[in-house]
Amino acid sequence: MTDQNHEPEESTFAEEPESTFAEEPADEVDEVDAEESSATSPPERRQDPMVTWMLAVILGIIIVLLGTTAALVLYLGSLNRAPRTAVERDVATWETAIHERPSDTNAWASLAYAYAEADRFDDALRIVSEAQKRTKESSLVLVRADVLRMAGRYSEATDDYDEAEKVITAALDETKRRRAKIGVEAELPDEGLTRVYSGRAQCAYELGEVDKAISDLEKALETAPQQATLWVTLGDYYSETGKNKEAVAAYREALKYVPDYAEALAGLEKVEK
Amino acid sequence: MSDVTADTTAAPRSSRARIVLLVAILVLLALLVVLVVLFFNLLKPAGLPEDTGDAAPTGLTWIRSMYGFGPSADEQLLSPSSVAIAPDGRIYATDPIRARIMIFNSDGTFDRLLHTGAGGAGTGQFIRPEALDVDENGEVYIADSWANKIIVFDDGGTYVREWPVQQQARGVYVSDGSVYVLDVGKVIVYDTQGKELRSFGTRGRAPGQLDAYQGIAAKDGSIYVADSYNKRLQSFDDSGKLIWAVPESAANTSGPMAEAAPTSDESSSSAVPGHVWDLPQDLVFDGAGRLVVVDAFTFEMAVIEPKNGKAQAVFGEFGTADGQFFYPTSVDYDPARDWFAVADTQNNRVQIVRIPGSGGSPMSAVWRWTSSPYRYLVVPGLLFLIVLALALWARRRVLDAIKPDVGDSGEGEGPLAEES
Repeated sequence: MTDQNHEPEESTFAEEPESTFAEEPADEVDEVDAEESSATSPPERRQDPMVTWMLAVILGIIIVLLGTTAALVLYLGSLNRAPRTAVERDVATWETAIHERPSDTNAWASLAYAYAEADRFDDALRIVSEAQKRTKESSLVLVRADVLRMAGRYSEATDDYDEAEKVITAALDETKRRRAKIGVEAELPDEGLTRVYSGRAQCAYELGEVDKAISDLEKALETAPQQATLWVTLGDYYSETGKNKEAVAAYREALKYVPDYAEALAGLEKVEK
Repeated sequence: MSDVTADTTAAPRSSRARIVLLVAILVLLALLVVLVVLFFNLLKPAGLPEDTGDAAPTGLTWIRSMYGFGPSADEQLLSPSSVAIAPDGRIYATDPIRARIMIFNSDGTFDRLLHTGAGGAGTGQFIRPEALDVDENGEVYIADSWANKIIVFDDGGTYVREWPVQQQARGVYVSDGSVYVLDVGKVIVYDTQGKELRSFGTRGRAPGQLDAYQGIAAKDGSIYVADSYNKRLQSFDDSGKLIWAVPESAANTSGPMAEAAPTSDESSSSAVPGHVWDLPQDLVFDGAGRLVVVDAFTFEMAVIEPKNGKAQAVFGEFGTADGQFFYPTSVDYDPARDWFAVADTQNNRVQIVRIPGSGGSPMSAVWRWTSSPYRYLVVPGLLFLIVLALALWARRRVLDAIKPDVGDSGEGEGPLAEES
């Protein structure tokens, strides 16, 4: 019964002939009783155009939404899948590689790292578990640890680093044993162990365990003493815990390998102040 | 009295409607925001240098990298040796090992390939596009270093003409109807039809002699050569007379007299003390009239004063991240957009970068924005502004029309006026 006044598409006051309030003062009482052509009743006429306007605004926003969607579809249509940054290129390269060489563990690991660089951590973890299923390569747990660390999931990463340490140490021991059997004695540096200790150190630091971080970094440096960046990080951790003498020693070690290492020099300056 | 009744029944219904509609508007606006954010994230490439913390700290701004036209290795560049920018802003990059040239639009999207089948040395074919340049008509001049010729295509990719060079076509530069070609130890100037006009130079180390590769440019009657293997820049007048060679003493680059590292720093200035060249490969004039030279072994873009050959500023550093270089061997400048295209050879890509002070026009900032992938966001933005403007205008009209109801008893329609 109130249709006439609630048809938003047409209800501009100019279009309803009965709402020319200037002409029919005598009819008002009747119309108001009927409650139908309340177009002439001033309070409703105040709200009516407002509602109309709001409906028009909604229509406008829907048009904008449709326009945005159209632009989106147009853009996606013109998109070629060519990489636009170094990270995108790495992802593309390794995605192709795992299709061409599905048994190549290095390709799977590289793809996981590439996804992690692109902030696609779920994809990276999916790739690692896929690779573990396919290749049964136990050292892939180190890749998962690195990805978890890059994703900021530090305690999970620490657990994986612990497992990686066990796996890699066992493999190294096995190799040493076999070589000893044929009379070869050798110290085996494994950059895998370096990555385990330095990655676990960073996790410990982020979790607030600076002392554990320091001890892990020292283990890392035992396996790779020439890594100047690790010496600088060690120096930073020492200076944070107030062990200034050890910090200075660490920075000096870094400068032995990279004499103009800016961060080492800056760290030294801060500590010696 | 009956009006009051009408008031109380009609008012709540309308204000309920208003509330419902207001909620609907807010929901739709939220949806719009979500859609725009989604759109923006789709437009944004993964691994931007500022996100990964690799942003070059050396004053150079990375705009974008172009790797190819697809995800697999043979859809991407392999050791691109030379770049040139066409008048419409498109970027031509050589893919010499695959005997083809990739053409990109200024927004980084792929345009097309320029190639002659699998490549060959016959008429109308090219096999090793080592260097190229594009003239003001969009015609591409390619220096084919295996077929030893200059071959010309128009901007639609149709073969136009070719002519042989004396020994080896190493570098080419086209300007004002003259084609400057770097042959072994000499500069040869042709007209655009291939007729030889003049030549000068002999191969050697002495000032005035050349052992260059592809870096040649000309401006205001002077010719500038990146004398790569002599680790210096040289400037000649149009007849081939030497204007300056910096540094004058060429470092020995091979044999028993080879020095371990170049020691002459005559190319330095007070702005860049101790500057030395290692392998200056290509050079181009920017919008401010400065000479910009890429050195493949120092991984830098150096700004040179053309009058005396001295370094004014250096930009760039070694690396594989976007914004870093690994054996950059070619550079070109886009005056409309005020940016440089660099063939980042060992990184298998072309990079678009900016350095400060290259003097683009005020319009160049606008042009750069129209080459941005984010320009698609203009559509929803403009639509929204139009709808907003219309809505505000309509609202004002609506409110103006309502006003006579409320206070104006002159026409005698208001309920209060009528009641009496």
